[in-house]
Amino acid sequence: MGAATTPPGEVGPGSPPAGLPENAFRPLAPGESYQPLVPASQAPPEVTARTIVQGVIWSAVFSAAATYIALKLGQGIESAIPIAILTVGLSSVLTRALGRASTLLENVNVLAIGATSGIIAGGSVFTMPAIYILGLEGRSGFWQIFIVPLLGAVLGVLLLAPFRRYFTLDLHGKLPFPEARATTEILVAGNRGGRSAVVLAWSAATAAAYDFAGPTLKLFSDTFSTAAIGALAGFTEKTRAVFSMNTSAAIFGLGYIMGVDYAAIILAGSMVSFFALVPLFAWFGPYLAGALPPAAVPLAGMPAEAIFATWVRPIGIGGIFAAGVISILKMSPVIGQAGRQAVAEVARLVRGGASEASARTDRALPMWLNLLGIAGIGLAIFGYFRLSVLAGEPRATLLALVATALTIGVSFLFAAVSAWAIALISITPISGMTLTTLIITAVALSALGLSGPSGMLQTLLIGGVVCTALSMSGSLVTQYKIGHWLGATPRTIEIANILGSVVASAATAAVIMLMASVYGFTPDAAHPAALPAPQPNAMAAVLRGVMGSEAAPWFLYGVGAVFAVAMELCGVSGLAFALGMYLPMDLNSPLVVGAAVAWLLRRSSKDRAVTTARLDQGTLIASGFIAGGALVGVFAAVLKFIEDRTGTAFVPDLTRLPGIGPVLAGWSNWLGLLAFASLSLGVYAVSRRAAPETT
Amino acid sequence: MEASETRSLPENAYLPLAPGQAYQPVVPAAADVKESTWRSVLWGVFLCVVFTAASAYSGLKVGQVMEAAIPISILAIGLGRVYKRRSTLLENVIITGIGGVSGSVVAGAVFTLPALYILKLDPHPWQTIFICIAGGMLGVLFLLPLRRYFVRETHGQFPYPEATAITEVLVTGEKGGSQAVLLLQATGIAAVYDFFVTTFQVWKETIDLRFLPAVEALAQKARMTLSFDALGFILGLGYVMGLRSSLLLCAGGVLSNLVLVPLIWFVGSHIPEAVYPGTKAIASMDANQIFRGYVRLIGVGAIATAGIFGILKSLKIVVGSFSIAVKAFRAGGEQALERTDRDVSVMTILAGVVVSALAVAIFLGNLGVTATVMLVGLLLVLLFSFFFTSVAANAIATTARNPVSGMTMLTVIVSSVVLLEFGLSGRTGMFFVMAIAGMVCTALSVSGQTVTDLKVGYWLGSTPRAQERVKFLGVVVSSVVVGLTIVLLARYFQFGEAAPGDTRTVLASPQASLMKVLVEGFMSHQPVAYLLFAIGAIIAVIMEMLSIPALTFALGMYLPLELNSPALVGGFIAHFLTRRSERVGGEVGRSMREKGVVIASGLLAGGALGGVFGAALRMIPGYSEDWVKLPFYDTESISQTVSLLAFAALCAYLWFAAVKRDQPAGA
Repeated sequence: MGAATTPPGEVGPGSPPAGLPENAFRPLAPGESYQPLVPASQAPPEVTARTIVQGVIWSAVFSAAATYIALKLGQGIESAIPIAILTVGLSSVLTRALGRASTLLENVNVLAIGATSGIIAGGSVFTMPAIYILGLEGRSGFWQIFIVPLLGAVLGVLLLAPFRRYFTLDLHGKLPFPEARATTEILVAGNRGGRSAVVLAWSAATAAAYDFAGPTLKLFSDTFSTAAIGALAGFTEKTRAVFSMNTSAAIFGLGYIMGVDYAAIILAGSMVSFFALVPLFAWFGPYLAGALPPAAVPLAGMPAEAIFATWVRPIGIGGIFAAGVISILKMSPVIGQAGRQAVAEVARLVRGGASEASARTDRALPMWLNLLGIAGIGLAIFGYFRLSVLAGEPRATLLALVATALTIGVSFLFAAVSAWAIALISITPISGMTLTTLIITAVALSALGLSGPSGMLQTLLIGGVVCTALSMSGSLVTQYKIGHWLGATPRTIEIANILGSVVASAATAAVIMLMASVYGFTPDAAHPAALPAPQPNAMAAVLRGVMGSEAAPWFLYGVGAVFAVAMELCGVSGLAFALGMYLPMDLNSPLVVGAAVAWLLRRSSKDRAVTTARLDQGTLIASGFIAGGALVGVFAAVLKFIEDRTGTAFVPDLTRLPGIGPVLAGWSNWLGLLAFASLSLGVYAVSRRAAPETT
Repeated sequence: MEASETRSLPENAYLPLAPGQAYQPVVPAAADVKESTWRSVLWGVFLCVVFTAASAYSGLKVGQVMEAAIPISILAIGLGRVYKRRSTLLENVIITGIGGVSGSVVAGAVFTLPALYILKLDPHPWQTIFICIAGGMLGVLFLLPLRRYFVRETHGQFPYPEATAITEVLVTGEKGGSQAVLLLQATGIAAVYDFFVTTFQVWKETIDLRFLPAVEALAQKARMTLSFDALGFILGLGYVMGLRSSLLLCAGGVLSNLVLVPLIWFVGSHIPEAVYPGTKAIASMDANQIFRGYVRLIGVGAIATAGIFGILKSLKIVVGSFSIAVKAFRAGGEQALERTDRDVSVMTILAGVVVSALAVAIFLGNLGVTATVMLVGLLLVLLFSFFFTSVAANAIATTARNPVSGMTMLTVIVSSVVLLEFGLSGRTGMFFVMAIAGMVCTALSVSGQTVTDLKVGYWLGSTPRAQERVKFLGVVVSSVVVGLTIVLLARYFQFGEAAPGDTRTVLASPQASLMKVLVEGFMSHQPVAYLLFAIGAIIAVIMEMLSIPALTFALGMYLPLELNSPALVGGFIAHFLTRRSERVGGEVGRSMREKGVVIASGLLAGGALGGVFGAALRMIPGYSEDWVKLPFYDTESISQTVSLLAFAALCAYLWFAAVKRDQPAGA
């Protein structure tokens, strides 16, 4: 899950784009060396005020958006490519305002600061909300949720830094780096970026307006549901089989980028939950006089959503868990390879291979600073665990030592794995590795006698550090490669990443806390419409099972785990399927609509150049939709937060208006469907108009 | 054509063809080899009679219909050597083709007809025979237009495990040499192994590891059980099916047995009374009962839905192949087509369908019903037979197993519900519905066998028309024999459960008893568990959506898990052997793959032979399983471990015998 979405824009097979040297994408002949676009002898401005300002803004904005999407849909979003487009686009605006165009390397560094957003969000959203789910928020606060991902991110940078040369220089042309290629192409082809940025901006604005009009202004329903159709009432009552579809632009965009194969798997999971398992449970309703645990009311009276939340969701959690473990097992060759490489590299560095390089394009943070940094972080983690988390526990020093060792050790291993995976396929099994970390840690700490709330919190925090560290290393390797192709100074990239993590950690922590306060992550009395937050719920389930005292629905977890295995046997991604089973149907079905539009565009012309242009246009619009929709979602949460605090409603609810109000309310279900259909058709029509560039 | 030595199968026999490439059978289209001779037809008919009678008895007694085609192909090879002029390869195909009908007609008959006796509806012998003949004819007739699709157009896409075994037996047996020795060896090993395991109490046939406390606890608390039928036959089947199909089959089984059964138990164990269609409280059911009571119905729904998808997919090619045939017919006979692509003419097929339909109509009309009901009944027969024909062909081509009883169940339920609408009920209704079910059941069972036969013919170079003609003959012979056998047995035995006051020996006939319960229930307005079928349908739709072959998955859901899990082992061996052979490459690698298929075919053949011997032994009065019984048999832990080791040894044999390099100089 997580960073599993990749841009469908096709990565050119062999030849680099115009502007890059011919040997950029192929292995070098013996004696040949790669000359970057900006040679080492030149030193154009790299980090300037405009770089930092832009980078910080993008980092904050995209962190907020990514956090929201990950909490709502369990998907990571692509931030590097939209940021690259926006940066290149803004470049021409800044030319007029500041008197000179941004240099290529300035843009690389904007990207380096901004792109941390997706990483931090991925790292902390998969773990930190579990604090709320487990009810540990009393022992935690902004600082904790802020500091954990930050430590992880810095650790990720420091751990990967020694391998930079290996990944960029030694393996030049041998690893595909799909995402780095796509981003580099955008940065190099600067002129095209201008037009793309405009498309991104207006599509984000459209999505923002649209997603504000639906859920907040109630102009149309944000969810189309067959349960709201009078003619189907009898059928719904009898079978509890309900089809529902969210009408949000953000989810449409996500589906477009995801592609039809992956979206179909997710929808298939939902169909199993809502069309097979919920009706199966409901079927037994009339026979059951009492309540079936863990529910408190008789099954016969429960609506589909309640049946889903009580019994079917835990099945999905079990599936997510099993699929996560399977994804690690499948990666085992990569893990082995990465582990061997890591050991070899360390040995080389210890022998003195890390001579201070003279060329600008090979200048990184010095090795001693690097090691010092790792030691410092280790010390900080130890102090934090010993003095804050474990204070008052017996044998706290020993526990804190073990916890710190685990954090650094596991981060090191998984950081290497993650970098490899990104370089090869641009996907890294973040949630799987995090779950594995949680299990290892929970078992180790339990063996040492730690359990209960402190144990859960401790384990979760370790998971948070590791999760962010491994996401960071995956992203950093991409940026190293971009820098290598274009000729950026590695040191500035490293510093930019650390700077970006600070901003992103703060933004992410703020959004998580806001969402926890407004919507919550598990449905309860105070938060009936909780955000699904699939990964944190799975993590919480594991911790509760290993370290908690409550009885976990083991039976349902087990069944879900077996289900995921069965799907893997069929060659279907168990992770996507289980995620689909876990998420409510209404969030999954629109993904397929988005994916279907992409599919139709791909087949809309026989000319490859034409379809590529159309698809790219669609991808831009979809990216804009995701960002715009997610941001307005965050904005709506802020409004709601203020409204709740102040007790005044200052956003009009159109259904309350006299005259038109009741009409809107009565037709809102169908209006929602209509709005969503128009949106989808609109995207198709606009994208179809795109023509290939004539150069 | 005496002289020429038999060639081995071409390299592309089991692989999809490249565009423009054509498959050249062992006997080329241009060759004119003897096929339907007096010798082959008479021997075929003779073997058909023998196997039909034996199969009918065994099917009624233990619900197991003997696998006939493979043993008959072995016999055919032996017979061919007795004559001065050795039988040709294609003559042997004909013998196998006629003889093989026996098993399928018997399956159709014994799964349904005894229900009529249990219900005391006492059919006339002519009625019994007619039901079989009509069903069998329809099965063959409806399959013929599908031949080009299943046999030719999709070459290399279906594994055809049974047809592969028959082909390997016929080719290798003809050719002799080291391959034949290997085949004989594997056949012998599997025959002895399967015979002793299934017929006597040497060691356990089914491994469930429940002697381990943890596994037993899982079975008790969650109704999760894993079982494994350690037979050489299924190992060979899995090998020929390949990894992908056996994985899908197992995935379906896992979904049924380890997800759905536990879930139903999870809810159902809180319910004190029985949940329809079960007859006792779920809390008191074991995993197998929950599977049979509820989950299998989900599987039936999935199979039927997957079948519809299959038909939609094959529709284009079927129509295409029909139009080829029509064109050829108009152009003056079908001489334009190659010998190996010449079917019975379209007009014959159409005439056959019309005549069969008329006969069925007359038959149904004579059961004392109104004209409307008769027409509806006829429509049901034609629709179901047509529809299930392609399902059966697809299932056989992929997994060598035909979901006969599930499809018949569905026929009984749907026909009952429909006919109730038309006012039919009571005893007439039951007879009427069982007659329909009997015909449909025979049709789908025969069509599955026919597609196997046609594939064998395609590989070897038979003339389809010759095969098809004798197929009709086989259906008639087999129907008459099975009808008479049932009538005869009904006189001296009773079917199902012992009736009060009746002292005759009981033949269990399990499937027919199930049908009887169903038809009785539905004809007295019992509710239908639509929901379970619907869930199965949804699952099939989902699988189709994920581009997973839905029928294979659905079959996995429907078949007992113990029959699927050993196939997975075979699939894995095939997978690793293929990889090994690709690494080795060249002639040696090719011979490895060939030997693998030969041994797997031998295991299939041997398993089938062992089963036939076992069935024959069971006919001896006083037979008892503990005639041969090892002392440790009752100690689960030991006998299951022995069984596991023995199965592992069988796998090791399959692997090492295939990987072993031949001695360079002739051995």
